[in-house]
Amino acid sequence: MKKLAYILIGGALCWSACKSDADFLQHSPSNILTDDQVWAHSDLVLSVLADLYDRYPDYNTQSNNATAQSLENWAEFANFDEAFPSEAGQYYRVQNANLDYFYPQLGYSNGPYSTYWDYNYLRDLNLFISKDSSATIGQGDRTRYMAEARFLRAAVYFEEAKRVGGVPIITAPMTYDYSGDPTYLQHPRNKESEVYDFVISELEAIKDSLPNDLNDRSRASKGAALAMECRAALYAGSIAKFGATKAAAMLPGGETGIPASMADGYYQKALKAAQELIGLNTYSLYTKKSDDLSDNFASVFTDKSSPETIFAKDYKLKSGKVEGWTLSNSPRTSQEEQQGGRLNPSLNLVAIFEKLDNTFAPPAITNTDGTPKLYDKPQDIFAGRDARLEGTVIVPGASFKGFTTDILAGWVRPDGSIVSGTKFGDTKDIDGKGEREVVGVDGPLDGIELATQTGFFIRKYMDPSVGSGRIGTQSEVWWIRFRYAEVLLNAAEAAFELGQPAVAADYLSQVRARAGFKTPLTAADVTFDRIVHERKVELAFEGHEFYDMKRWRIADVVWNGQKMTATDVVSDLSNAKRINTQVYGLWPYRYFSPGTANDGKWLYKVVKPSRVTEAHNFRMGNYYSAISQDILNNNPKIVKNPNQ
Amino acid sequence: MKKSFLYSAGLLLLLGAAACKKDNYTAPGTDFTGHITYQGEPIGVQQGNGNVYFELWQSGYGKLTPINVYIAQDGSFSAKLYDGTYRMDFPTGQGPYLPPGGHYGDTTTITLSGSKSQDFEVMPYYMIRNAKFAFSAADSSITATFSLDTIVKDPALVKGIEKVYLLENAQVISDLQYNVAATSVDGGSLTSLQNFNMKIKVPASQYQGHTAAFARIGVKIAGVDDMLYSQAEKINL
Repeated sequence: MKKLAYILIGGALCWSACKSDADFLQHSPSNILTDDQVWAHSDLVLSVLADLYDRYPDYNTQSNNATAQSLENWAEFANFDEAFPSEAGQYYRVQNANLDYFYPQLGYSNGPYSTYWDYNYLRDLNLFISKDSSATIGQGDRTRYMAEARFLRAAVYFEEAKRVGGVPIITAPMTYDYSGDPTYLQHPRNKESEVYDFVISELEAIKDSLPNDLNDRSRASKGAALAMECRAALYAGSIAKFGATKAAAMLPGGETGIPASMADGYYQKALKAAQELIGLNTYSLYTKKSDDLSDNFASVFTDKSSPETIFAKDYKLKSGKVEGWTLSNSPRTSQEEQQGGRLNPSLNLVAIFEKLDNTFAPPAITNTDGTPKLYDKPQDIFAGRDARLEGTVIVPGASFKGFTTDILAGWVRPDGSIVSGTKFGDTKDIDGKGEREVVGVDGPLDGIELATQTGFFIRKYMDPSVGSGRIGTQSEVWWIRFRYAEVLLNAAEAAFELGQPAVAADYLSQVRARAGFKTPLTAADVTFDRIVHERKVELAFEGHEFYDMKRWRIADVVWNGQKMTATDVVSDLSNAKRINTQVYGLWPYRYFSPGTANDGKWLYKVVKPSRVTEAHNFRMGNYYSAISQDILNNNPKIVKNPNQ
Repeated sequence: MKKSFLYSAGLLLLLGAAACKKDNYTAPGTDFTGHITYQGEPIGVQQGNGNVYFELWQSGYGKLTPINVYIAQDGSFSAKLYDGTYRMDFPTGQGPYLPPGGHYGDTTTITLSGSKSQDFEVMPYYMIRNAKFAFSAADSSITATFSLDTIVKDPALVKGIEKVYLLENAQVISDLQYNVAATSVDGGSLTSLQNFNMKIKVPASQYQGHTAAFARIGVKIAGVDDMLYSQAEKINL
């Protein structure tokens, strides 16, 4: 009996074991989703798209490795003439003459020498776009998602063309067949003009599939497509127009350089796209704080309800996605950690902000007889200037977060001798007349990191909210990729190049009126130099300067490797081609003359920070970044860029 | 106890010795030197990393990467290499010259077995001829006399002169980046390229602790990054 029971139990066990065998290897995975599952749900597709958005090429991976100018990468703004890097590890940016041929190269995590060349991202975008026909999600969502992916793909091609010129245009995912012969995967570079044509036509094709509203500025919208189209067409137009002046940067196959005959066509496209965007009436210049135009301009970047922002990289507090711009750059007087003050705007930049009567003049540091000019308050020297100056730069005496900056380089005796100190907020008893502060709490101190070394701090993108300077909190101010003012400037440039200076003057004047200029520009005022100037002051610290100088083909003239003098910095201010190779500063001093009316008045001196040793040299080979040797080895059809 | 310690110490020593022998390459020991010349005359350039170079390629060792050989101020170069066969290539637009045939892409094969010296002929756009420097103590100035010869005459390749510089420095390395005094003439204002005169004041700082200065002529050719220089000449103050 017992035996029978054992046999029965044994048999049952065997039977049950056999039965489950069939399904044993058939479990569906619980930690990944298959393609088919993802493409059946709109929300899942959106999360794939979110990853694609995150890889948008305005900055690349970690801040330490990327060389793109962004809020996570303050030091990149000190590469040229806009600012000085006040951090010991970044002084090299003002101590190397030659610009690397790979600039703007990726960091070492992506291989030591490579400029932006991201076909992994392009493949993922192409895979996404290729699902258009098989996806089973609703038509409305699908159309928008596909348009967004194509928008991102256009952005990648545009960014690559900005750096290396023509690249192979791949619009479908490629797959290796393991035959041992990869040549069918190797594509030659397209012409530079073909890449721009592709970008423009893609954006033109998708713009109507995208929403036209201000609801979500971190996703593509109709305005964003038009803004990118306008910028791309403008770049192509200027490369065509000015390319011939630098023939050494052109390849015979058209991989770099665009024939001059195509210039007008591109300018027309740029103007048309800009005018279409303006005609949407969705966007407008930010004027919410019109009682203080400088504060108004600073708020363009920090106020997320601004109707000026078209497309931005967004951040959110307590989400892990925050940026440390304010942490890195807060003046000492308003900092919340023992750090800040890194990015110091240059006198080179400060001096070109116009006076409100539309004329250029350097800050007045001497009287006509050569004696130093004395000011009652430190800010007085900057009075009556373009409001964007104090919206972009914290000048001596200006305040941030409610704290007045304390920038003081020392006291000047009537005989010209200077009493100064060596540490932040240093005090001395000058000539037995009592203890006085001889160095400001914020500096300037030459060669001391985190002090201002030019006499200025950055204001643009600085977050005025409490906690923005704390390591544990940081900031959620967004990085604006496209904004309405740039579109107006693009329109002005395109109109000017098409021989419509009156139209250009109107667009320029809109931007300038917001900056406090009462007299609009006339058609006769609009020149190439004027357009260059307006972009430099309006779009400083927004990542435009390098690419603008390249497309106008004046980068090698402006950064010509020759040292500057203190006179060069403040002369010829309206000239687009003026030399701008070394960063200078403007230090405030006080006049020491106890018992007289002039005691304690402010005067200024032009100084070159001693860490600035070399002059920036932009060579012909820098007009198009070098393509890494790895890429050339893997694909022999790729031709090298010129002069490298 | 003592014995095992000795054994293990001996073993370690043996392993250490064996390891050293196995995994170290010998350093490259072959010197490859020479000059970049035009008709035997060396071409002066600006020296320094990132300035003028040519490429050496060696195949057969995995990924292809060029060895960049930088050219010194006096037109010379030197590289420490392994023995073997290399291809020498002038990268497009490097240097104030064109490759000998006037077009890029031709490589020269170089076989090294033991140290070697070899000059490479190029076609400079211009040559600085008969450069003479004279120091005048009376007004403490240096006067340079020289002529410029146009070498590249093919209308498709010819380039104009943007600027001619006379440079002065306290040390022998002198170029547009490193100098104490510089003066220049615009290329457009030149009427003739023969028997040029340029004059430069020697700054007062040169007389403090220096017994000599170095003078050099530089020619910026339009549309070419790298300038053409004469040899730097020592001038006793």
